[in-house]
Amino acid sequence: MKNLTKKYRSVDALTDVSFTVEKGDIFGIIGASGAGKSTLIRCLATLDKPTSGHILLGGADIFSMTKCDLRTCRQNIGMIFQHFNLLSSRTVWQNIAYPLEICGFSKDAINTRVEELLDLVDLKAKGDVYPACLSGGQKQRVGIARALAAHPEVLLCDEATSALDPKTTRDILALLQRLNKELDLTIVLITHEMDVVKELCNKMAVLSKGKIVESGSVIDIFRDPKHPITKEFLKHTTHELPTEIFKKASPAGILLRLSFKGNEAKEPVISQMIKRFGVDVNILYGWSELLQGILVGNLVVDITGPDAMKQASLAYLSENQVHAEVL
Amino acid sequence: MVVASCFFATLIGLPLGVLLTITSKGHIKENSPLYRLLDATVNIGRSFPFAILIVALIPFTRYIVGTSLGTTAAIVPLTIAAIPYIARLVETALRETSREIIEAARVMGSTTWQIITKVLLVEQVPALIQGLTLTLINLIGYSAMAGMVGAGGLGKVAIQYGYMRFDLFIMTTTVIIIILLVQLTQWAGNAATTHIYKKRGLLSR
Repeated sequence: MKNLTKKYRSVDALTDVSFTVEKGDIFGIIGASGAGKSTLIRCLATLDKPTSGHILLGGADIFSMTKCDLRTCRQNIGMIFQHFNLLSSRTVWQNIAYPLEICGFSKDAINTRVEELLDLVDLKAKGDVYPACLSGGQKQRVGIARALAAHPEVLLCDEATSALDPKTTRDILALLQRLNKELDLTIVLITHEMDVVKELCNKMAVLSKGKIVESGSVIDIFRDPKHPITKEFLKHTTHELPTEIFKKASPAGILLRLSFKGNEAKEPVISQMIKRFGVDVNILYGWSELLQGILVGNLVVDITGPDAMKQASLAYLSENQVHAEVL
Repeated sequence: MVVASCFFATLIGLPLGVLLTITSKGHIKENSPLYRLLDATVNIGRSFPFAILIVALIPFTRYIVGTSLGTTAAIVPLTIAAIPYIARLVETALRETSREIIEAARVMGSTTWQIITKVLLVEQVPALIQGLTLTLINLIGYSAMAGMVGAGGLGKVAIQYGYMRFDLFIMTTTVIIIILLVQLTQWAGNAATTHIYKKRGLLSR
């Protein structure tokens, strides 16, 4: 467990925030504007000191470090921003070289590393171009290359795709995913877009008014969101159920949202259930989505039949790891 | 005379401007008392009418240069007058650098010196050039006044030979030359700034 981040801060912006990020995780922190996301990531980036609490990176408390160690620590953390924050006075090449320059790398070392990075983010032809002539996606790729220059272990992303169009956002997310796998890069990102979390993260936390209201693995939270705020966010990424469904539901039946994960999506659980318990299952709505490369299927069904059988069906569903939410 | 005073004034004014910027609220070396002190000093410096400054500095000028008359002597009040002016211009220019960029530099582990030299000053080169241009032109104007106390240069010619001898021709000619000098300086400054903007791709078509 190389990266351990535990946070804690009082007074207005953040209260009692605590979570752990492990090496290789892509950890997403989602929240509405004003929830405290920026404050949180600024603390993680060592820019702001929490009023109380600790941030531990690899076991060492960031804010108890000496100035020298803090510099080294900062060089071990890379960061990309919503508005890219590239130096307009430097070319792409020079921007990427910046962190290496301030670390005191030799000219040759810098040359080699920058060429490597340009290749990594697919900007080989743009080395001598100034940022003002780049598109948003290209600027963010320069930002990523720059953030990774000094081989950091952690990459922080501050609403990194919020200023980009959907296609470019997907490209950047794909790049980040590739980097996470190839370099075992730990990524912590903040965003207000649930789609970003869905596509990229394996773990997440939901921030609201300075507190973490829910956290855990992305797949678990998407299947079974507990907190109202989480559900609110999910509404915007998964399907919003059409109101007609509720009209179609029979008064005596149970209206359920069933969700099937991965392999189970291929098992004929529903037809088995019908055969065994003699209930009627009316399928009103359905969709499936890809989360972290795992297929998650959803069905809205109306189950009718004798009460005892309905209860037995519910039990059968949960035995077979099909998550059922009563609507 | 003008160039020399500008040079000396920059030696002191530039660091002063940098200091003003970084000690301001929310900046990298925030220090309210120091900022307020420097701010007040610069304000006082700029409020001094130049003509009075020349006279007030006579003892100081004598101490440094040996005399209070002549071109070399004039460099002293010109420099002193230019220092707060330059400091203000530098501060205004450097403030243009967005907080976010400075924070990006901090997150990457830059030292204060690196932020000043590699980020603040470099990013604002065009604005600094424009500041320099304004200073030179300002000093050209001041140097004309310095001509009244016996400094050399166009000011002297314009005032002593032209104005005081009621020689309209000389007066007009020297004024025209001064105007041309100012135009040339402004043109050079603009050309340099435009060149840099073009290079950085910041000039819209």
